Amino acid sequence: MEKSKNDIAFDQALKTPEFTSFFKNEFAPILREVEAMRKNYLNLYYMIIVAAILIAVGFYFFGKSYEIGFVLGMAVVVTVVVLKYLKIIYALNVKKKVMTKLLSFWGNFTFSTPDMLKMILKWASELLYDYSDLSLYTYTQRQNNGKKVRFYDVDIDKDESESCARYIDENYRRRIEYGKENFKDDPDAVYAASLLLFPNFNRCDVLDIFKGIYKDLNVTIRTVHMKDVNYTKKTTQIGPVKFKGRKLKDLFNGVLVTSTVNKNFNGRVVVRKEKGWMNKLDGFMLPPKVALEDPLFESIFEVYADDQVEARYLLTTAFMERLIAVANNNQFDVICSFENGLLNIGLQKKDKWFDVDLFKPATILSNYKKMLIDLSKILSVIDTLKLEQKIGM
Amino acid sequence: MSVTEIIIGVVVLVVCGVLYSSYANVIRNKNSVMEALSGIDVQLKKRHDLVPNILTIAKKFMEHEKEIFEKITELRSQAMSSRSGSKEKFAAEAKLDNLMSQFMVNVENYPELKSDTTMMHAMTTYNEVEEHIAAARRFYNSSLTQLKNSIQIFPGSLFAGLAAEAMSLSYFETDAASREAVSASQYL
Repeated sequence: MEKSKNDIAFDQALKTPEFTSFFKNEFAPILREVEAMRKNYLNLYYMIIVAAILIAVGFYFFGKSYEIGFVLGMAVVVTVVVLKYLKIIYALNVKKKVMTKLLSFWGNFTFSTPDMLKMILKWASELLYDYSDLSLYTYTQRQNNGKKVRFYDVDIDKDESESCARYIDENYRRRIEYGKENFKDDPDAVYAASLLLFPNFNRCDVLDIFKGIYKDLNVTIRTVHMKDVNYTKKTTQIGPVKFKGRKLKDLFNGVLVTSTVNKNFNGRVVVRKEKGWMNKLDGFMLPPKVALEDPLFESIFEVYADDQVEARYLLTTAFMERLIAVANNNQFDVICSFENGLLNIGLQKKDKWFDVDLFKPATILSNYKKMLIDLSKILSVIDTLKLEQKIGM
Repeated sequence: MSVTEIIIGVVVLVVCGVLYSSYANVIRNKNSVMEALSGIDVQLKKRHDLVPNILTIAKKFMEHEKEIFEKITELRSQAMSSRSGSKEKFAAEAKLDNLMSQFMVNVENYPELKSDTTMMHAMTTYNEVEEHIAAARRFYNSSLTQLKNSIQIFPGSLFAGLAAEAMSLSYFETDAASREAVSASQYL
């Protein structure tokens, strides 16, 4: 079987007879294993729901001091959280099996997922951190003549405000430290955790990781979900349980493409969406603004850079036109930064990238074709920007 | 204090604030222009330092091209001695630019020179320097535009005198020869 050449556009390679033959003869058989895996996960999914119902019923009937509202509320919350992460783990395991096989056709790209155990521990620690100051108190009307009795003898109001203040003060420090603290063992995630593109992030999940060479460029593609979690004084009550107020803002949920560029540079340049005064809110973490000559580019993007000359060296008039073309033609939200000798491009769209659904049969080939189309769209961005050119850009 | 006095006080404060802001804007833009100009000089200096190296490497192979070597050396001296930001400087640099482009075309006729590793490295560096010069010129033009806008729009026009030196500078413009369409028949 001939492999497609590096200089053939990815989407053209998908249409070659060799790929069609590979897809039907070598790829399709592994889908039976994937379907068996899906059924196991689906069984586990339903078992978790049944177990949650049984535990809730058990608590209600045998744990007499608990209200039905509290029991059901806790059961729903825990079940929803567990099932959400179960679907993510299923998707990652399917992609690991499927994408590894699909990409072997080219031999230029490899696919990996983060260590599952590390991911689960990270999510668990984040959830515990968010809810570790639970203020629990129970109603024991029969025992205490209708008076509320605290589960433990603590002045909740005072502790709440103190611990809230502590969380809010720590937020800024954690934004800066989060990258070092949580990604020191994961060099891949360090690039994704670019403070330049998302200065306010303090949570980050890196899921799919594609690495390879495309048109003589070292390219890494990551699915990244960046969030900004802030704690407020407002609390939420579910039954007798009071949770700390938590505001979660999605900063970026898409694909981050990191590529080498054929230009030498030292400083930092950031290209973000034009948001007017909204960009000034985190402007204290950004370099000075750069005003460029292209009015259309200026109306879509804002540029910040350490060095005005270097910004214009990197953002030539041709590159600006191509970046506008990427934003308009592909209906992506596009942002990018030049940093550490690399170009980072962030792409977001309405539906998910490389989506795998637990409830859809795994034997449907169109699911996987969609993943390849997603990859093709990402590589077409590199084609449009002509990053492989050694002069200009 | 009466309400009228408070209102007058606030109005005076606002007017002073606007005037100060305009003054600061003009000074900032003037400094930006001077910074941009020195940015161009930094890049041109890099080019001036690079040109003798390229000529030294090329001389070994291009023994019969003495005329172009002499012209380049003469133009380089002229460009280095002109005042920064003046029309003469821009003209001299533009001529040097054109001559170096011609020189690079001549290099194509010497395959041994073209494939020499040192020459290839020098040419790559030269291209990078040229791109930096183009970027520096864009920054300069952009800064000068911002300065002219801030001075020509009231109340910035009240402080035009503070930026007289910068206002005497001209935009970087390419020469007439570069504006003409390129004819491929010249080279084929």
